[in-house]
Amino acid sequence: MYRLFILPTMIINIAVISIPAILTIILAFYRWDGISDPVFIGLENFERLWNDRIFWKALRNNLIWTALFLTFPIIIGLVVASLLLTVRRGSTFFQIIYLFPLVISAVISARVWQGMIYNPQSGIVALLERYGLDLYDPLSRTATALYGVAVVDLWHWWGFMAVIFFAALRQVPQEQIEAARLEGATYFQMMRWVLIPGIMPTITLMMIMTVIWSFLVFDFVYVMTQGGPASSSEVLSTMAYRRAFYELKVGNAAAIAIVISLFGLVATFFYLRLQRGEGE
Amino acid sequence: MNMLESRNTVILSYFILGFAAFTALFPLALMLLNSLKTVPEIIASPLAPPEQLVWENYANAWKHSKFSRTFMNSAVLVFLTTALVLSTGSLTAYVLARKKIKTWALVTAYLLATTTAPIQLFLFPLYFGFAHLGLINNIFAVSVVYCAIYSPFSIMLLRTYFLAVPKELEEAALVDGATPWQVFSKVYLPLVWPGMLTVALIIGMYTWNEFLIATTFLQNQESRTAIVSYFLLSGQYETNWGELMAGAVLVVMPIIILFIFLQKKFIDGITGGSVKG
Amino acid sequence: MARVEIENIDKNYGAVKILKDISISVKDGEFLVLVGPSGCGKSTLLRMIAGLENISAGEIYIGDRVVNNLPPKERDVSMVFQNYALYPHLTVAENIGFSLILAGTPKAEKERLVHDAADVLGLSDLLERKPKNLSGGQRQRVAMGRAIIRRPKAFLFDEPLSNLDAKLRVAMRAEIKSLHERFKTTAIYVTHDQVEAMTMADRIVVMNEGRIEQIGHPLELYDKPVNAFVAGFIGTPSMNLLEAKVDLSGKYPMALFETGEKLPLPVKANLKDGNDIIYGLRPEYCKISKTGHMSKVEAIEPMGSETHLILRFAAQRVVMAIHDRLNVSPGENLTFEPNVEKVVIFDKKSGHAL
Repeated sequence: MYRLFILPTMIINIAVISIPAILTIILAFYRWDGISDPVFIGLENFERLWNDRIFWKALRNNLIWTALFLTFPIIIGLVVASLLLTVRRGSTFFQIIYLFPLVISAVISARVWQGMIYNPQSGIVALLERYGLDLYDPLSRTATALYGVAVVDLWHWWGFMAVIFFAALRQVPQEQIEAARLEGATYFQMMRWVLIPGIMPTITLMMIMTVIWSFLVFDFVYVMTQGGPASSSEVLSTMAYRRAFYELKVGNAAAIAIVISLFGLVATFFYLRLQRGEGE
Repeated sequence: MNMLESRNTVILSYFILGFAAFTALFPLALMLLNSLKTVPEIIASPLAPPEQLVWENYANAWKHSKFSRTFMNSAVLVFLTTALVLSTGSLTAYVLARKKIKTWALVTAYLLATTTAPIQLFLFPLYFGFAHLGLINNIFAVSVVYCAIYSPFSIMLLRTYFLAVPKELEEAALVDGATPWQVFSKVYLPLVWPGMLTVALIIGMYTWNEFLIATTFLQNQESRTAIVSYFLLSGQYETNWGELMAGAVLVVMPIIILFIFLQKKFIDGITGGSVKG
Repeated sequence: MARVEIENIDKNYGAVKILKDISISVKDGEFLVLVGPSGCGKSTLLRMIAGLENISAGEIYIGDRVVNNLPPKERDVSMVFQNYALYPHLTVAENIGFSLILAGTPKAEKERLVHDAADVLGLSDLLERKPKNLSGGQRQRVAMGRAIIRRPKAFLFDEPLSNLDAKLRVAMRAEIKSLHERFKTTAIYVTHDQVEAMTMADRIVVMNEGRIEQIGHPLELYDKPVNAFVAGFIGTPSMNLLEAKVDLSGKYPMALFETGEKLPLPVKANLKDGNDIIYGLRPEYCKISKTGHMSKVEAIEPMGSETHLILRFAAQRVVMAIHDRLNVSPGENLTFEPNVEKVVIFDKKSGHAL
């Protein structure tokens, strides 16, 4: 009887995710344009990636992205959450404001930043240029395009970390905080000795998820730069998408998708090992 | 907590929190402000107030993005997805929360694994499969895809609400002769509906905002979502930023309004499952 | 070490008054216990002394300093919390030496002090363990160690024993007391358990609904409660408080009950005929007597060392504690005699002792 209850979920999930995922793994060993019959080519798709300059560029960009998101949103989130814990009054109000960027679609956020901030004619950049600052649209240059996109995603993302960490901090037993205050802890000592250790499981989970999410990043890059200029902001997911739907190299795209998944697997593996370590 | 904090600490904290709030709001304020300005005004200064309110921006954005059609598509998609996720997800969440059988651990592990799977891992065969079956531009088919993607998260969140229902209620009902279906529908559903509402809000928001699946599977004008048609509009009319900002305001409005009125549920849903106690 | 002076303290949360005009003067080296039912404001008062709550009005001195506006860390007090507030990620040694870590004390000095404190508390073998591998009593000791290592001006205890089982609680009670004998540091101890208060305190402050009902030595509160609340709160089983009227018509003053029964009253000048009173009689100041007053046995609770009889007298409940084993059953009649000397009388309206 209870098996029937989980049947709808499982059918949908297997049909939409598992079966196509298995097909993707198979397709990675074929050459296929999506129309004609697939041709088995062994590891050629992976060999091509190995020799593909753009692939390495995209992989590097994903790693930079991961590094950025492992540091900035987590540090900002921790600081803001700890301050919310300090003031308490108004914490709900601040949380709502910090979540505004999160609830807005990436497409909208991207366009607002492109038009109102980065744009060299209509944006804040243009305004500041007129006051003599040497600024330019970061999306238009190969050296800065990736960071230009990352800033928007960071803006969209850090509030989520702050709210998550604040929720975790509220579960740190009150007496532990009060005891530290009585014993003379400064703000940094409170963070170092009480708050961060107290929410370490949440921080670990968020860092693992950050690694996984960093390899999935798509919307902001696709909408703002399409990976350009000159592939300078290409990431693995936009590259795979382009290979499949623009260049009709589905086998090649499938191989990239497998690389993306591998990073997620490694992160998940580490997480499970950490958890097992804690359980002892 | 009511702690005696030194005045300076509190003032400094508020200053930093205020600065963070400003950062979060500043681009959105620009969006709202410039949605009522003409292009020359925006170029003159994005920070200046409008000389007169250019409401035509909104009318033009509405017309050029075909929002009367695409908003409806988005709304239907949100409704279908939410209904699918809630109906299938609540059943599964109930079983995972209450029935302790070995295979359920496997089901849980499987669902957790699919949450970390990148969309690209299943997107390409799914697309060509849908194309083969003639399901491209079919809103219902896309809602099934969303259901598969959002279900694991929803089930994990709903599960915590099912776990919060005292087990004795179920046992009492079973002693009184209720069938499993009656236990689920008569005992649990009335008690977990706040959780269902939370999940509905989060899934509704995700669906409304989703871009990658929507742009891939819903391509023609009749089936496009608001987000996708806004994306296409912004590609075409790249110079008219006033109109583009007006369109942006229109698209975010439904989400922002829901968010402001039901912020507590949103925050519950966003933090749910991520905070390990 | 220092005295702690609490002068006319108020605490309001918005319109709700939690504490009303509290004044207590704690002598240097004294062990003072704040006791009262939950919600009486005793913990709030303790937290105000620690600096964890704001003071709405009045002044608190520690030593000769007004501490109202000092943050907790500058007040030089240590506090033992109900849940011990141990850090799960730190070892016993690190927990005990936490304040020294924060202060940046040199390592050798820190280790010496931690070992000294661990010695005193019998924790020397557990220093490398984490709190989750300790028993309740050991955790309690670690919390104590953390408090004593700082040699503060005052110890504050917030219901430190309420998470322990009954047996351990008795043992820890004695241990805390002997630590106090050893260090002679001013201690303020909050509890809802009047037995803890009686056994540990130099002086007890009985609080109720944000006010002080009485301050005094344990036996003083027991023998001379100033009002019916204190009388009922201190002592187990608690004092019988029976409603009656004063009857001065006879040779001796009597308490007249609604049902017509009478019990003798001590001779007091301020009794007025017909006044409504509460007749306060401790269970142990009652004995069985053939010539006594007729009552019906409702229940018998043998405790081992003594037996509690629950009697129905004049349509009210009277508890009597006796040391003899008695062969009675519920429903039987029993005659008893109060010890008039020990009866306490309260005015019914004000609750004050007459």
